[in-house]
Amino acid sequence: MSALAKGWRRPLRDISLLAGFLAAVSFLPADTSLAERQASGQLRYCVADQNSPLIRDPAAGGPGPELRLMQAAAGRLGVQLRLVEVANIGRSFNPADWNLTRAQCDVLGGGLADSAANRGFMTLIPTGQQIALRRSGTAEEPPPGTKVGVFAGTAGLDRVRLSGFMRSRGWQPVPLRREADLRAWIAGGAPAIFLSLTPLPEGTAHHPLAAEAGEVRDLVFGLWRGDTTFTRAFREAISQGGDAGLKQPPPLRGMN
Amino acid sequence: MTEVLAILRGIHGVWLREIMRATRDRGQLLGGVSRPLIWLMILGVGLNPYFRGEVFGEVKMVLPFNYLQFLFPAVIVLNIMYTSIQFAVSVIWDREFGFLREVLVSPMPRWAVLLGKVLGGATAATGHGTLVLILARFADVTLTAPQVFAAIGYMFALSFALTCFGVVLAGKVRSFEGFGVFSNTLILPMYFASSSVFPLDPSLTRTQLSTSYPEWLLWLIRVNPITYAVDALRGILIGFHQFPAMIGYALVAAGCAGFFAWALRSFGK
Repeated sequence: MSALAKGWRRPLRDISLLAGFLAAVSFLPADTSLAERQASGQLRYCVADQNSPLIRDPAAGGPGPELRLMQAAAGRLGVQLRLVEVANIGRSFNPADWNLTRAQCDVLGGGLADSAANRGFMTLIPTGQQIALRRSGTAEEPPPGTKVGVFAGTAGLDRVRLSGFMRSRGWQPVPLRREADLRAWIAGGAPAIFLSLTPLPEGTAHHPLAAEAGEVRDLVFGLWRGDTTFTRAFREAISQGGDAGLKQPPPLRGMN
Repeated sequence: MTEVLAILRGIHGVWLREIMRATRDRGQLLGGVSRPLIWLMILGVGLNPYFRGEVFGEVKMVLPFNYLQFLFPAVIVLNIMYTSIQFAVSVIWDREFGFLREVLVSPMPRWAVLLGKVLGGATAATGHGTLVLILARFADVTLTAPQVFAAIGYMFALSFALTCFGVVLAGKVRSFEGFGVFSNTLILPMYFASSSVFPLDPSLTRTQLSTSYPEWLLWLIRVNPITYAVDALRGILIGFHQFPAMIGYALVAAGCAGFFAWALRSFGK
């Protein structure tokens, strides 16, 4: 070995040791968010409506696509999934009025859209689903002055933009709070604007809204910002996909 | 052609000497590791809960990142600042012990000697910045290979500019003791007044910002070039900018050229 190579041995060993030390340290937990959930043994999954097609498959009657993903993720994290229905969601334009707190929910879902506002509040992880607004009724737009039912749900789509769009068409908005209200409104023969994943009475014709009313958005799971270890573990669990590799999807613990 | 090769060999020789000195200085190596540990793992972990979301719809930090992710690029810049500016000590050392005089009377042009020294200092500082990247997992920052390469390239340019600045400082300060005081009164204030440890929310208007922070602090942050240096690295590592990205890149490029010219003027005086 040359003298020059010998001379580099000690510095290289020092640098390798320090790099190894930093690599080892990087595996320390940055917070207790994952440990807390694992200690409690449950994952609280807050949704606005447990009968949403994302949660319950209306055709098969089993869990919907988002719930299946959550069940698989909970299984991989070694906790039981607890579905929490929070009726407050969507009742006010100000989400702070929904009273969704860390103490109540670990993950928010069931139709949460990837929007700038939601990104400001939570860490968002895509569910692989998308959502947009659609209009029921005839292919031709209703004339100005028509009363149009609006079921904007909880998705976090841009309601101000939708409101501006309706004003520009001269339509009178009638807020519809629940899916049952929407179905009753459509059954009455009046046009409505609703979220694309909402189950409708069979044979209901519906059409995309003009782009100015809002764009197609990804649906996401919302996790509390700052929950570093839980977010990483949840992201990894979700990235493994549906219930593949899981021997038995864990059952739901209960519903509130 | 032989002349060019001789100059390149000279630059390589001076660069290698600086690298050997930096890698054999265990104190400097330990400093490069202890700083990120303190800033990221103590300060970052300690403050993270205060920026955490507790109520949906309530605003604490309107950034799509947690505090550790926000702080991570700033800690890299801090490590680079310390190593680059402290490099001036080696210039003072060489001047004190006569090595600089010997090199300056060699046939190598003065700019080539300076370039070799600065490249050596910048390489060491980039190494210290790169070490922090190992902690990306801890801060929950996911990095792709192109991001890592872009970050290392940017870190080298920033290190080059700051090392030249260190040489300029060495020309102004005549003793080791004086430089220690000088660097501490320069590095930390510049770092703290650069939006490195607290966010300037880009979604807020100037009027709204003025209600969060006093106008004099906002002014200090805006005139501080480190603000834009940190902002550009944040753009590369976590995809977040508080200012137009080009300002950071332009300032670093101008710093490389401007400080090198300034350092050349003061070098070996």
